[in-house]
Amino acid sequence: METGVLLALLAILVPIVLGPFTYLVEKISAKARTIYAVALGFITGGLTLSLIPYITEGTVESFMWIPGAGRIAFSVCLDSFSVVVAIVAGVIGALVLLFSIRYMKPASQEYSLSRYYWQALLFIGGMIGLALTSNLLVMYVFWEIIGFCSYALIAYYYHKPESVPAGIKAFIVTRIGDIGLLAGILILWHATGTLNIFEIMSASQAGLISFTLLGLAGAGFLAGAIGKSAQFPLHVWLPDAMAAPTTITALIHAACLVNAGIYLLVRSYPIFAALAWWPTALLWIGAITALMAATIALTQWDIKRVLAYSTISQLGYMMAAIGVGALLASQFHLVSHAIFKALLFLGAGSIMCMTGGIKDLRQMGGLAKYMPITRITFIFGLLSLVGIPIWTGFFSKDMIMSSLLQGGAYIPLALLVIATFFTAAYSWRMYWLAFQGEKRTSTEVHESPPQMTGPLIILALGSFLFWLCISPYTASMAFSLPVGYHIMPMSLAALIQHSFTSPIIVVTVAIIVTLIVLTLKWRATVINTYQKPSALTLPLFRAYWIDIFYNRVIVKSLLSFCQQFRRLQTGDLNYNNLAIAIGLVIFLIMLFAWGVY
Amino acid sequence: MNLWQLYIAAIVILLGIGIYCLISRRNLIQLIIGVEVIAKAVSLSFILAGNLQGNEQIAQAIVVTIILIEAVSTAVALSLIVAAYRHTGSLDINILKRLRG
Repeated sequence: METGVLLALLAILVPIVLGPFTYLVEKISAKARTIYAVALGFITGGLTLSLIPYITEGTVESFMWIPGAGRIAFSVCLDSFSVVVAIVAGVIGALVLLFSIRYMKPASQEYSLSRYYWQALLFIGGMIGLALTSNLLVMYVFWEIIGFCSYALIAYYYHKPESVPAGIKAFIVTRIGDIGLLAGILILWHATGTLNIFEIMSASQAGLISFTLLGLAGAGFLAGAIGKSAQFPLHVWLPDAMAAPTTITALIHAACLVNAGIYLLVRSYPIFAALAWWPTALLWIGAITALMAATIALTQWDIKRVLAYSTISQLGYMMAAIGVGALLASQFHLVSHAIFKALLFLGAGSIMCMTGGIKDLRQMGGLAKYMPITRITFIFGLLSLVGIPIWTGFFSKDMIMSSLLQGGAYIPLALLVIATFFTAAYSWRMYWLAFQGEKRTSTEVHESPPQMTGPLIILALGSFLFWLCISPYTASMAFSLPVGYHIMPMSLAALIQHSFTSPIIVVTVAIIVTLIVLTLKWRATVINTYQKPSALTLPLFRAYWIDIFYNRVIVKSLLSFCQQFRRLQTGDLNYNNLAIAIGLVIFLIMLFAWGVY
Repeated sequence: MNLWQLYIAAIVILLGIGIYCLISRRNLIQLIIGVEVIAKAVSLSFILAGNLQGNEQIAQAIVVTIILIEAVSTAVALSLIVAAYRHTGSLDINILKRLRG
């Protein structure tokens, strides 16, 4: 076994297998448990980083998992897509765990922190596993592991009334997509007889899969990705998932869960690219989601909800980029988004922790003086989110929009450009309400301790400097995809030249002007916005009533339909046994009727 | 009438008694007895099948294993029943059905 494969297996197994031992270590002391969990997180992060030298080899190694039936193998695949997603999960996960030490301290009175740590570790391990395997069934197993962890962690504060319903909602809504994904995987298995994604790719390119089956499987994969990556119309779970601890939202919305859908689509793009409608669907879903979520974010008062809608919006950008075949742009934005969104969520966590749990932007205000490090790092995250040169977000967003321009997708591009302006507006509004103006809370506020500001500073540097790594990042991408989808390596000079000479730079300039105008002219208006939403902003404030629509139409009718069957479930053991006996008799009659005996 | 037909008759009768017990009884102890009777029918069918196939030894080994597992599962079930009785003061399954404290 090669060293790279061994390291990859360790990166998957260390958090998953050693995670549950937090319960044992807790017997020694609570402090030892915390140190143990955070150390595991850092070991995992280090293991994912140690995979970098093995990217170029494009190592693939399989271990037979279920021999015989369909040759199901646990295959490890190390290429620049998989390893980078694994590193994002591992490293940001480690920083989030470090941040958790102080952030989760108040919760330890009421809730078990061992549960928190092992589920977070399982989450990170599941995401690394999802990234590093090339077998679709194994990928699906990890896909479900992270789905379960997101449910369990969203419902972590189970005494709070909103937590458990939010967790269940996240689970059920993503489950709608998961069923599609499972169906898609099984259809591909049926069509090609293999579950290895590279073999399916070559089968698809050779035209061995009929277009009907390919179309069905493509729709399934699309549904899975829409559910996990919270795209319209299955985005409704993500804003409610804010009931989770803020550290976990950073994990779910930046480092792990939401990246899974985008990653899956990038991986399977060569399989479905032959379908004409498939990339177009991605393009439009992404563009519509990006604009819709950005407008909603403009009116929310809860800082975490603003960031949640911002996440949905940014994922829409990535989706649209895959739609025009710009896989590199999509992955680049995935990484840059993961860094700055983790930073923003942790920054919001830092504010909440120090102000005693204030989430409402109307109650914050004037924190700049009291929390200088949080403020500066938050600004770094926002600049990257808005796409100001020379933060990473500028380069990645520019790459997405210029590839849409090259692809001739003008209307989706227009939607994305409008969304960019809204992004700038809500980022500016969020910053101004939280940090500038009068201090509106009466609580004593001071700067967070180093174990919270440390991860913030590291992530701020990452969101500022990551684009410098573009040349090693793209160097081995050519090996990752089959012929016809090769990504040419990109040097740093080429990136800079590309970004500053593309027509999209006009948008960036316009955004900077907008920000200056907002700051000079509209500052007072925004800070004094306490009035009720007007007729114009009410649809945005209520998130276009999509949630209410789902509740009234789908959930209500489904529940009333299921109520009809309620009386079958008497809960009486004797009746259940009678039903089993009748079933047995029917089964025997069927056996005799078909002449088995 | 062959001997194995007698066996079949015995198996069917035992199975019928067990299922009837499960359907008609509400007492937890009686339900366990019903399950046991069904398990005896299963063991008997293994013996019969082994005899008809001509490999009694494997059949006997399986049956001994079944008896062992049965004993273990019965012990667990009985201990659960004791705990349930202490909790609710009754052996009626309709009281356990509520699943509330």
